[in-house]
Amino acid sequence: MSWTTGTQTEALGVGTANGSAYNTSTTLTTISPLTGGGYCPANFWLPSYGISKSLLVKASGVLSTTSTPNLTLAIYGDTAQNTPSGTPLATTGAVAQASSVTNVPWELDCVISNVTTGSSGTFLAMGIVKVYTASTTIQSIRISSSSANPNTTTTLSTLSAYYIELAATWGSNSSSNSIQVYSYAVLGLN
Amino acid sequence: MSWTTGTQTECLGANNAVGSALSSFTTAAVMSPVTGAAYLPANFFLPSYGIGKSLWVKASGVLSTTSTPTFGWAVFADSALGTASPANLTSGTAGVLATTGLITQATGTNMPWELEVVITCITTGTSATFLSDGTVKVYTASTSIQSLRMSSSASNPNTTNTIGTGGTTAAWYIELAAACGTSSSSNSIQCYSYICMGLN
Repeated sequence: MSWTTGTQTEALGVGTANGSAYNTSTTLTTISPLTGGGYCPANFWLPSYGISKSLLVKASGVLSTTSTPNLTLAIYGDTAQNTPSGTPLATTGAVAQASSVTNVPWELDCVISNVTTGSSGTFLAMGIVKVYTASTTIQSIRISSSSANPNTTTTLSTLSAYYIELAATWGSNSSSNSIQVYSYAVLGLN
Repeated sequence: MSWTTGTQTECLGANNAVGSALSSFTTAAVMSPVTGAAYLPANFFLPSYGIGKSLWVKASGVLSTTSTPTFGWAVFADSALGTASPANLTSGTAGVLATTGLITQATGTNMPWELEVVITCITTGTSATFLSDGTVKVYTASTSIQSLRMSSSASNPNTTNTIGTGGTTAAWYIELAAACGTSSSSNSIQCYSYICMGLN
């Protein structure tokens, strides 16, 4: 700690329980545990100091599939807990998963940085989701504010309060297509 | 927060823009966004308290290649913002705090990559030394990965490197640089996310 920046890192939310298993659905659903939802009060990204203020979202868990269903993972700023809607801060888009895996581990981390503040606030986000489809194989999936290259921003007003939550959407409705979060933390980096 | 250590973690730099794309280049050039560069004032690593003081650098982006060129990543201590000095990634060169060296890459377009490295002060002063180790991962396809060691040396066990003229008595920007073995507009790398944390 140099106090050069006048900021300090803070865990805004840490899961104290597993998230609810999400399966038998194709509806966008929050999968991070309630206690892990980092809460950012209104103007957390202040007009004067918000730019470059960043979050680090880390999560892990297991997933199971039948066939090769699409899965979308996305980080939302939710105005109410467990109500993902609108444009996510970061998303993988729909990506086909490995076939017929059972309780394989996955993890993600994503850095989300404020670019502009205000009612049309913008954020840049970039990270990777890794699904360990077998003990020696991996599926990697970009999770970011856009799928463009170079990456571009997503829009979220910084005037409102948000819970930073992880949500998922299966492309195929099956009890065998299941994902669950075991660990979830949102760090306010600065 | 236990206050056992009397220290706290601080984000020294976080980007608010993507870095400039590097292409048609060979010598080491900074690719981390200017706003992400952590600034360490002179004696950030104090003679009395600097030993064990550590940085954590985390970055990600995309890489495109033609044929199978070599690419390398390195965390530099730069005396001037945006200027990688020296202009190489050679392990053991003062100022190159952690490097992969130049490693042959797969052919691909916009392959995601990410890196994490911890850099720890071992001795302070004008000949200060640092130990660093981490990994660069290049996701060459959705189900394949290339991992590269990124460290203060290529030795086993790992050994220290020096930070540059002035050592820890000078001020530094902590930046991420890249170099490429073959100059081509199709050999391109860009940083989308860059943070530097002061851990303690």
